[in-house]
Amino acid sequence: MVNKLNDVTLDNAGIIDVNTIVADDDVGSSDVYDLKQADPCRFNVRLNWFWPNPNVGLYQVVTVVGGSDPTFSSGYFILHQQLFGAADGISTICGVTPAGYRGSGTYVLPCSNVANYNDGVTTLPSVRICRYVQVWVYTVGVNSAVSFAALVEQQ
Amino acid sequence: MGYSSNLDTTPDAGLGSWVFSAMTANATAAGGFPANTANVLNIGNVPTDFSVFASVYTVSAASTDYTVVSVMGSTTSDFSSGNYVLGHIVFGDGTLIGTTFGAAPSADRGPGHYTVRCHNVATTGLESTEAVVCPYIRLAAKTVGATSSLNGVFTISIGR
Repeated sequence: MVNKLNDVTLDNAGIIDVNTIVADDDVGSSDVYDLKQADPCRFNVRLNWFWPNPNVGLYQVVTVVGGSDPTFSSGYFILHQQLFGAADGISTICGVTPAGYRGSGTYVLPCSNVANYNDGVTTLPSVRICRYVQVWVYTVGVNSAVSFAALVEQQ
Repeated sequence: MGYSSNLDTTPDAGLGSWVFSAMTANATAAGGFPANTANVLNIGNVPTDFSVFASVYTVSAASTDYTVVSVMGSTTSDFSSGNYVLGHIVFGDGTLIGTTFGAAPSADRGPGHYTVRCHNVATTGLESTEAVVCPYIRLAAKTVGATSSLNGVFTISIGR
């Protein structure tokens, strides 16, 4: 039998937040979730996403952040990022124009708890194993408000 | 005593490679990303997790610069059926990333090795439209800022 690399069983999957409302031009977040993993592992964030007023030019950004302590006092790092909203809103900051809206629906965000970062061109890249994760939501524009539920699950 | 290993030695189902070579400031989808089928990977018509491994040699983390690499999917190899966004990775100054994307990491995201996990199922956000499984994958990039740049190699591995 051959096991997959870093296929760590995540036995404490669960909902980390429900019905979080993020107002227009605002930043909201879910609860902090403890992966209870000190080693590299993979997990999914299943996102139930509702955008009641889709309009052109608007967008939202979902970022799964991670840190090594529950208050992120030692820093937080980007583990995964997805853009939602209208095609032209996404195009403005990313240069790509998706077909149609990225609006209400259920999305799977595959993640790893390994954060890579580098503070400059002359320093060596750094790696951080993140035991604690949180979902951040950033809404841009009037009528960009959303509600969401985030579920951490085994990948 | 021998080694015990948890490595999965199964060969990857697919592998694609993209090179963003000396992409200059304020450019979109340049450097090794022509809009043709040569740089499109077929990962199959079933829902699949895959990873994009990024070896980034040059990317500006100056206070005015950020760079986004987007993972795109489609149902047709020439993307004539439409582009779907499957994932992003953002590089650059941490504060500017926070201003633009709403979450400022504790460190800049400069040269290094990164992994972007993706899923090849897209939605249009419309209630009457089914989710779209994207067998065809390609990458795009956008540099923003006076000194922004990108030079790196991106590869895809299925199910990793």
